[in-house]
Amino acid sequence: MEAKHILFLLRQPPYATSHALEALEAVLVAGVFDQVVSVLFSGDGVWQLVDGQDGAPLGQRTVAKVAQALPQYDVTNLYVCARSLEQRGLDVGDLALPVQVLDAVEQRTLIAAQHAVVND
Amino acid sequence: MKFALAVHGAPYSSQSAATALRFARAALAAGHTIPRVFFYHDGVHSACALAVPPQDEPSPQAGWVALAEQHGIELAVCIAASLKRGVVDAGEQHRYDLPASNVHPAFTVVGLGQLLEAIMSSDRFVTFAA
Repeated sequence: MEAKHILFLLRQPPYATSHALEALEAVLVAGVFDQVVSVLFSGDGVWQLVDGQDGAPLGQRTVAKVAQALPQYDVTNLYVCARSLEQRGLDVGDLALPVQVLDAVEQRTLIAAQHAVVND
Repeated sequence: MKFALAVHGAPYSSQSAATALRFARAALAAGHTIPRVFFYHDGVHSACALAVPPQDEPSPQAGWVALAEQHGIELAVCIAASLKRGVVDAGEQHRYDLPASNVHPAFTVVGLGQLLEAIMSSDRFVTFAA
C-alpha cells in the first residue's frame, strides 16, 4: 500500500483538558505506521510547544515533553502557524523543539497535499 | 467511496456525535461505505450502554447501533481514552477488577492503531471535532 500523507491539525491548549495529550498520543502511534505524518500546531495549540512549561503543579504530564518525543517516532514534519504565534506574543525561539513556521498560504498548500487531515 | 469517520465529542456536550451520525446516514444513502467509525477523546461516551435519554428524545446510541447492524459498520472505541473515562467492556472489567462494565455490545474496544488503519484503508477520512 502506498504511504499516505496524514496531517494532524492540533489547535487545543495543553492543559485545559486531556485533549492535547490524547491528540499527541495519536500522532505518536501514526509515527510507527510508515506513513508521511505531519503536524500543524495552530491557534491555542501553539501553547503545547512553549519551552519551560511544567505540568507537575497541575498533576499532569508536561505536554511539551511529549511533543519533543515526536522526532523519535519518525514524526519530523512539524509546523506552526505564524499568525497564531504572533497573536500570542510568541516566536520560534520560545518553543521547545525545532519547527517550521508557515504563513497562511503555506498552510493551505500543506493541507491540500494531504490524503487525510485529523483535526481536533 | 470508502469513508472512515472519527467522533471526538460526547453526546449532549457537543455537536460532534450527532453530526457524525447524520453524515454517516447521508453517506450510506448515497451509496458510500463506512467500514469503521472511531470514537476518540470524549467521543468514547457514545459507547456507554447505561445512558437513558428522555422518552420523547431519540437515543444517539440507538442511532449508531441500528446503522452498524444494517450496514456492517465497526463502532470502534479507543481503549486508552475510554478506560480513563469509565467506559469499560467486560474484558477490561476483569483485567482491572472493576465492579461493572458498560460498553454496549455493538461497540468494540480497540487500540489507537485502528484509527490509523481506518485512515490508511479509506478514500476519505472525516473528523467530527468536539
